[in-house]
Amino acid sequence: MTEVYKHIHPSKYFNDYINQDVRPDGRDFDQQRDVIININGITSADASAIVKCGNTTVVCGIKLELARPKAEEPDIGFLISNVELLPLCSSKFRPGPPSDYAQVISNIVSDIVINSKCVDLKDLCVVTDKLAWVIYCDLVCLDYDGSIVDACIIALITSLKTLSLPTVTYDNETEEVKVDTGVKIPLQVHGLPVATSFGIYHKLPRNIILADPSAYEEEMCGGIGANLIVCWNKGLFCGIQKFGGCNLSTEDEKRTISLAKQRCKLVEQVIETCIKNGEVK
Amino acid sequence: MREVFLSNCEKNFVQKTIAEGYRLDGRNYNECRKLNIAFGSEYGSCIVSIGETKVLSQVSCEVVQPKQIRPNEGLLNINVEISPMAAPQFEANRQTDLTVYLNRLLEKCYKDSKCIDLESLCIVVEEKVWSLRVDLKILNHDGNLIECSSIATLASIAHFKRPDVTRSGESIVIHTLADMDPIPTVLYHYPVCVNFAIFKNNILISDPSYIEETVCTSTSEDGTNTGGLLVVGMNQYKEMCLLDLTGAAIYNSNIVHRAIQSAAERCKMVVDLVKKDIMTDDNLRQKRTKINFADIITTDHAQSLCAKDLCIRLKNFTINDIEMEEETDVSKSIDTDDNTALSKYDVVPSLPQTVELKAKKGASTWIDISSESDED
Amino acid sequence: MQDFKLKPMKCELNYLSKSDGSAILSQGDTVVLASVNGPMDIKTVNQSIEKATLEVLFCSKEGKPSVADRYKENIIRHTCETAILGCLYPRTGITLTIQELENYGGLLTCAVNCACLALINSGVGMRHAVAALSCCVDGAGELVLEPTHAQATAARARLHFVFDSREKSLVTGFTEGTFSEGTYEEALARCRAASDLVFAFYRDIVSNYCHVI
Repeated sequence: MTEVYKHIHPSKYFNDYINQDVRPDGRDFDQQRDVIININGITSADASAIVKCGNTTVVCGIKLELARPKAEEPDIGFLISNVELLPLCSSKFRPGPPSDYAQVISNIVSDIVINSKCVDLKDLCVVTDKLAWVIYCDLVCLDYDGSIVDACIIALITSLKTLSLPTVTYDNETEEVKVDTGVKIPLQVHGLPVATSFGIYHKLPRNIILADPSAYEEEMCGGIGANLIVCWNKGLFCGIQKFGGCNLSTEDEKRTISLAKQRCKLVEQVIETCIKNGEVK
Repeated sequence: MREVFLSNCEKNFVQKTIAEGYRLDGRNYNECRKLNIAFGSEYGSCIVSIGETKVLSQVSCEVVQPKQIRPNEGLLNINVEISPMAAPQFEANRQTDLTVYLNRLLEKCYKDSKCIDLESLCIVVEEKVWSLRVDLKILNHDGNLIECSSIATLASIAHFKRPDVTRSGESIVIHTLADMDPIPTVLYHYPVCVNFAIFKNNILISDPSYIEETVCTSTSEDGTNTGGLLVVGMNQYKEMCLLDLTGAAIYNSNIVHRAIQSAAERCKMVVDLVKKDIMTDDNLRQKRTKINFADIITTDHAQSLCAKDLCIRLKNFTINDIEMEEETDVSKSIDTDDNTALSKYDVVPSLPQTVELKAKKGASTWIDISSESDED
Repeated sequence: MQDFKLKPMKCELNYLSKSDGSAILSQGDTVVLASVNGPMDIKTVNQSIEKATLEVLFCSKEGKPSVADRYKENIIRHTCETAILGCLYPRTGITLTIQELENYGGLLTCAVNCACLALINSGVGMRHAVAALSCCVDGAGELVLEPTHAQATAARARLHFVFDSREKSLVTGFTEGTFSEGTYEEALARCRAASDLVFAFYRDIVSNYCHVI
């Protein structure tokens, strides 16, 4: 019966829940979903992580390659991230070339990684103007249920943290490259950016802030995608993105920032415990 | 692309007025709208407008590997884009027949005519050459796109300067604009595409507006099509490099001849204007004057259209005038040189006025209806 | 409250004759042209029964369309969707095309302002106007409002905000670089105060325009 109600009166159905101070999935307004992380699940990748935030599932695989650096910037390597939203993760996405939305998400994710400066691209250079590492981070969404950026960032950072680079020797005269996979040096990851998404639901007298919104909630808050993404990295912001939706008042904004900080600590703990567990094995 | 419908009454009205010797905006048959070129702050960027038709052009360059069959030649690419900005019927990121048509004509006119010295774009044979890319964005489509975009291409290529390059051993150094003076592109000649609309297989109209273009290519009520668009590409030495006809076949050989003669004059005028504008722009740059597209924003009136739109010019005519005009029209094709009277509102002074100007007989007068409030 | 100085702004409405509404705006040396078409008939797949579908197209000056353009389109689309009263025009489409003419910093803020002016010019029903402002944190940690191109490229962080005209609440925000919480708060407050100047400029332009008609 509720399913029918939801389909006939989608906004009224949602409003009824909100009026009872509860969200359709039973959470409080500022309660986030559980986070599950699994590392090194893909053996063919150089590093990988699978992250589940509620139903949202993202797999991140990292592939290493050697390449010649750009002529303009001969001493830096490359970190390339790409987010794929395939039709398998939600009925909203169609097969074919990446949708506009996937491109936007890709852009947000790579912006956050670049702005947080968590990987120093100079570390990736092996020989100036000759050889540098390219880190390809492929993020594939398996199940889309809102707050995709959060899950992508967690998956990406966790796999970067587990990534280690093989040692490379380069002969200047013969231009021969030798890769020794036996000796590996872990990649330096500075800081730990964590993104937190919020949905802002328009309601009188004041708007309601929904932490970690699901896909359904995102839709109710004005279309696909979260309204507000706050990214916090060890005491500094590395990106606050707000896309339209309802307007945000000053007090609401302070609340979201404090919520983002709390969540950041929790997620940091999860990631670190996970990596520690992985090392023990 | 959405379909644009043309009503029968519109079509008939335009056809009728043209047959009677008049055009909707009060121009004469071979009178063009105001041509204006505005340069941007970068080398090779300009906005060209013919009346309300506006095209933005930007030339950019990069170092690439040359083609195997021509290892010592640079590359030239022309890319036309029509966004919904041009007119509501266009859709975003969709190629239309019009885009392909424009692209092909421009390539013929600028690539195949060999007007650019591609060999001068070579840096290292078989390894590195400059590749020039001309990006044309149609901002407003009010007819005669081909002429406007061709002038935009020409002006931006002629205006463009590429960074200087020095070779030291195997590697090359590309100097920034501040480091070393950039080099202009070498042009052997300046070709321009001139567009004519043909009505009833006899009447030749320069610089057709949007509605005139649509009417002349559409079929008339009895199912026959007797009009078309004729594009003539010609350089300042009156050498032809392109001839393209869309629409009905021409069975009047005289018309092509007239078109070519008229195109030659128009080309000369356009090339002179382009050269003069680039010269002025260069002088200003040498005096370190800032040139920016912001200059095209005028602040004296808030609405750019009102100055032009509310200023409707009407011809006061009688039935006798029409007859006379038709007579003089025929004489026009025979000699076009003895008429030196200038049009009242065409800013380009070199364009000769045609015979049908009734100033001598005093039968035709102009009435200006302009908005008074514009100035305050 | 200190004085705010914004870059000189120049604007012309109805620059294009074929669009329903258009505006060309320069802020300092950055120039943007925007045109609005609609509400008009669109394909059934894209129609929404609740509100007008807004389609935004951002054209850069040269080169092929890129992922960065999609991101800009997304920001502008979300911002304008909040500003317009889409529910007045269900099952229709509104197309907003933005063409970059000169980029000397602050392109995106200029584009948002220009889009707003074009929407006002087109006569589409709007909830409120929007004003975009940018602000950057220089090497010494000082805030610079409306930075020049050189200042912005050298800056540690760049923050951009869009406010609505009614309550001055935040409509859109996007940032680059890292910054502390205090800086964020101050930048937000400063931009909010300076947004008054932008709205005053809109008012001038529109009242000028109304005079002519």
